[in-house]
Amino acid sequence: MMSKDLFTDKEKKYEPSASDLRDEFIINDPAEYVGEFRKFFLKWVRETKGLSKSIVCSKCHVSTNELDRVEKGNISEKDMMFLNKLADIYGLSYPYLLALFKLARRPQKFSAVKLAAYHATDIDEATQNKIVEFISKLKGSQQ
Amino acid sequence: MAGYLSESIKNSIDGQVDLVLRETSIVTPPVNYNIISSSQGLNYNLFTEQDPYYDDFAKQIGKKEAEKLRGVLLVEDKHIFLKNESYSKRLNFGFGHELAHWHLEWHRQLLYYCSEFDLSLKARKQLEREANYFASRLGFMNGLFNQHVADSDLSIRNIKYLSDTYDMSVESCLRCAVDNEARSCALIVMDWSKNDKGYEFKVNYILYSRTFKEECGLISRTQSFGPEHEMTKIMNTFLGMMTGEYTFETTLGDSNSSSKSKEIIIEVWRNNYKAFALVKPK
Repeated sequence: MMSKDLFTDKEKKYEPSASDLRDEFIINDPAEYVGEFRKFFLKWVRETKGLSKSIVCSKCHVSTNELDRVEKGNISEKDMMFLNKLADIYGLSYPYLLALFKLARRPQKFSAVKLAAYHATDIDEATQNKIVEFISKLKGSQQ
Repeated sequence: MAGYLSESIKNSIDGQVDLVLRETSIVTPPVNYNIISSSQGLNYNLFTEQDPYYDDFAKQIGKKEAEKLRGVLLVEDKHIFLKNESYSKRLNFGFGHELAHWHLEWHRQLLYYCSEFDLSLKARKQLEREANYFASRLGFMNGLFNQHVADSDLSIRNIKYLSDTYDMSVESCLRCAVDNEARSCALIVMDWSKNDKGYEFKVNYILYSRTFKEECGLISRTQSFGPEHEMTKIMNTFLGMMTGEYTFETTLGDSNSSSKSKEIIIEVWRNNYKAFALVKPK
């Protein structure tokens, strides 16, 4: 159980950890839970692995501010390279991390055909499916 | 494109490009994409609009949409499909783009698990920007192209020569040159159309070298150059046959722009798609 003194003692800084989540958070809405989880997860993993911020920063070639930001869950598409490095250091699945931070759809829904297409990016799903279909046919004809 | 990427991402990509060039011992332009792909065990095939499957594909999504598909990488199969472009320089850039998805660790790892289409739109755009940056840096052999530009007179004529040396399009060469140029210059890229009165030009985008804005101010993006404009007259007179580049002097600065009144030299050239004006202070 987390001590309430932690919040009243002005000398101590509040350091969130995974155990905080269990005590403080009542799961009413799974989406809300995931939202909170994003704010703790990377820091919790780092601490569980016993890695200091400085070690992680030097391995990822980023500043402490950047690591702080990412550990608070403030992650954008510009952090994909960074997340890949963190996944490597922490032994996590990179695509799962992307899904957790809403940069990819959930792994259960990943496409069967895995490709990168050089095309306009803002295409609808129907066009995407047609590209996949076309490439699958081309691939089949090569075999 | 580079403006949207952080310095750490650009540095990381530059490092990868260096590694690729070192590993394949490519030291002089143009880059040999066959050597790079085979050094990684990657196979590639070209597809054309004449392929039987392409016809179906184009009918289903529309010809214009189908034309936008320039290449595909299948990471698991270590295979690249590229559209056989009649313009080899465009094909090279597409090849470099697909190689980026393979060489950049955070792209390749992702593509083992899922498709690029499984990413959010923002993430997909980021991935494509990074691949375009890689393709550009690879084609220009990191800083080598800009060294060549710095060692010569800054002109469209010279850059067209370098475009052949590096086997990269004139537009991408002009962009790369101006983006990294220490001398004061700007590039105006325009869409052109022809009517009864001759050519008309509308600004598509403008790039500035680091020092140009300070020295000359900004050029209005919203302006178009009608038949009476000095630049249009030059274009109409000399560039109807697209026989070369033409240089003239004028003054930069009008009521529509924030530019300072400044005497400048403009060199113009056009191809079948766009017109280019390289602007330098006199």
